[in-house]
Amino acid sequence: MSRPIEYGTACPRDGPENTVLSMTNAVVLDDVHKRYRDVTAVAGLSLTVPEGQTLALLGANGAGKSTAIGMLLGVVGPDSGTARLYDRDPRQAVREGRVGAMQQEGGTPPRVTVKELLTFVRACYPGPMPLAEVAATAHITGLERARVDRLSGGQRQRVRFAMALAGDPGLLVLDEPTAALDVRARRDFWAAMRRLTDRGRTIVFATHYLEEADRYADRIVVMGDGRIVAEGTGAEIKEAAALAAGSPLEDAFLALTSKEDWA
Amino acid sequence: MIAYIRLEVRKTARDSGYVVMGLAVPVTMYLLFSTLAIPAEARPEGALWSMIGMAAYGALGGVFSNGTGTAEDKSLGWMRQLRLTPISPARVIAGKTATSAIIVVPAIALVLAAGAFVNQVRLEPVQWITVIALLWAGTIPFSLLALGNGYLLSPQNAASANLAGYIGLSVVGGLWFPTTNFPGWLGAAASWSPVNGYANLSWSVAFDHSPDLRSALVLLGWFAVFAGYARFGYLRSGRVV
Repeated sequence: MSRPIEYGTACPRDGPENTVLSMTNAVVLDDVHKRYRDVTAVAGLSLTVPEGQTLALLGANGAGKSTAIGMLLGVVGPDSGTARLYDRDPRQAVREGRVGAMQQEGGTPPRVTVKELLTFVRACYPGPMPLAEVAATAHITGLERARVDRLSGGQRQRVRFAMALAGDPGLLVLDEPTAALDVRARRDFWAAMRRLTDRGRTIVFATHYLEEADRYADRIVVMGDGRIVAEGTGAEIKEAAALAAGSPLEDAFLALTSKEDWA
Repeated sequence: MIAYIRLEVRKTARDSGYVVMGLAVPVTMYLLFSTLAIPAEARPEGALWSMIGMAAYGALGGVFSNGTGTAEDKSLGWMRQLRLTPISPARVIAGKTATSAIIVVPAIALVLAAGAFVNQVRLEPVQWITVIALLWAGTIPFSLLALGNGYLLSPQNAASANLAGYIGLSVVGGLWFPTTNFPGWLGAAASWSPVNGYANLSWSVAFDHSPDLRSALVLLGWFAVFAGYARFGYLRSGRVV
């Protein structure tokens, strides 16, 4: 095999996706490119996420996940190609309160309490989630009066997740949302995500935890060197890598993201 | 935007840089100057002169600490997070400027209260009102300068630049020692400096009953320069963030 199999984004498969295909697409990236001086971060990425889908962007560090997320949020301008959210300019979609985002790191101000911060974020959105529900979903109940800059890394990560969902937006974009979480917090996090997807929310998350992508995403897009090297379900990716069924996804991931194997 | 201003004001009020530079130091310096350094026969005029100088100094401390806080926001990713929430960039700048305008109020009030109640400074009501208004509105150019530093520089460099700008401009502007005591060349430079334009507006109201036109023009000129600088800084920070 000389090149990876591309699974068309419109390719339907059995499952709930069939019912949402007729609806609006939450995310459309059309052949976007981005270079930073001598480094090509994203080289021709096309991606469509229908409303209600949970999509994992899987890839090693430097694969272009964060740049792709930056472009779909409108904070990174593509050199060529277009990014659309809900058939709008991404910045307009953000301005209309359709998007909640969690950056890979940082993003909390100093010297304010959790409650003060979330009250501000909620006030920015047209139809925010009640504060108590935000706290319960993000597992930060009891921390509301604490100052954000005095929380532990894991607690602050949950506050950053709470900021993304406080506005109750249709689309959540999360860049490595579980990076600083321990096993139990990670399980709680995915339980919360499950509740959001049950309510029809669209979720795009970047990760290099293969297990998470396999277990929690409807669809996985594997990125390497700024382009898509495979996409589909975990099983389909294994198939694409022509590995025997039952082998761990990690093998598929390594095969798919290693340049030499595909040269 | 009210929610944003509320958050920013809380954040600044808990900033030790603001509390020390904007509130504690100016009123302490004022009381020390006016009771120890000024000879008894010059006390009424000296107390009035240095009340305005130190109120201006405190107000500038407030706006410069706010600018330094902006650099901190940038390095913590808070500015980038704001771009990912529905609040528009123009409202962020407006909210930040409004925050400056709010936090300078206690700084000015504290020194003026010390002047009125401790040093028995007496002015006519219209003079008080004009002095307060000029001290307050005159901080806007410096807010823009400090925000520009905050947008362009790293937190450490912004803190240094704002502290140096704050102390340097205050000294050259004559807040600490009257510019009439300066050597000729420095006096000439001072008369074109932004802080001297700012403080001299209030001094001229307090001593001559009418604001000095030349000072107003000097300050307006600097306002244009600093506004351009802040805009440049914000646009540049948007590119790199």
